[in-house]
Amino acid sequence: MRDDDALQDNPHVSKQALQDLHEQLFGWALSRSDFDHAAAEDLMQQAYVEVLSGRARFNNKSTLKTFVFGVVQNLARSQMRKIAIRLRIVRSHSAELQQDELSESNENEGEQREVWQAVESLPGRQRDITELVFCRDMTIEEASAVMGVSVGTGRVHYDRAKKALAVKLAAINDSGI
Amino acid sequence: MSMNEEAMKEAVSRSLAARDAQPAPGFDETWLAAEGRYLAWKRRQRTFIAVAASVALFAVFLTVMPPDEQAELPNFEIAAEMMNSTQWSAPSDVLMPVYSIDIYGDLPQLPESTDIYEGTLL
Repeated sequence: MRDDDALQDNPHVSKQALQDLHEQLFGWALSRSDFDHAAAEDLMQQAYVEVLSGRARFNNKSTLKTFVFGVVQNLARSQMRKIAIRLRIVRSHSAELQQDELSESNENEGEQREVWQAVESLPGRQRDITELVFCRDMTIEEASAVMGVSVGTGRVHYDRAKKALAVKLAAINDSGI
Repeated sequence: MSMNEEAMKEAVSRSLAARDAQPAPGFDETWLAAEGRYLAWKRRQRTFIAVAASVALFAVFLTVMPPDEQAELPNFEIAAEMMNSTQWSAPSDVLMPVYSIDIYGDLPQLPESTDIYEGTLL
């Protein structure tokens, strides 16, 4: 490592800058690994290895946040895909169990869970852009860069996601939870 | 952003915060583990490069090494051996059953004829 804290194989990235983004990045990694803490930690370590080794090279064309979120997204797509699919299958089989849990939890928790389930029920890209824009403080342009799609495509996904989510949230409100 | 969108954003943010309530692992701990992985990867890479280079060098050595000429030549081309022997077999007959003749010792028996044709022995 050099004295100015920049990484040897990634001179535009500093350890301190990564540290500042660590918590946000972990939230994103957690969401990418279906909220499995160990898988998210593993994903984070691998993302840092990619940055350390220079295999994922930051060229200052976007923000560092967009870049590292993109690294996590790409790793999650390649490595965690099979695990995520398996988890989704397990989750779909345990839907009844989740309903039972919902009835036992308090009203506020239940509503939040329903809202997040509504987000998760959106198609993959709509779900991703909703999370990035609503919860990770990104613009549509930044979110599109993380997802590896054009800004135009990102806008379309965002628009469709908002419309679909509005319908789902209205249904949740009508159900009186 | 319209009010509806703001309300939606608020609801989604709160739902994610409730879902993702697990504390993040410490940065230093994650960074150390990542550095460990990186160093292990580098070691594996160096080992792989060293093995590949050794194999390549060995292949080049085998290609460039002067061949053992005596071992390479077939027996019939060794002049001294040819000169001291009356045995010879054609090099192209390697796939044929082994057969050789001694041109002085094993003279083939020529067919003899006692038939006469127009006063001449055939």
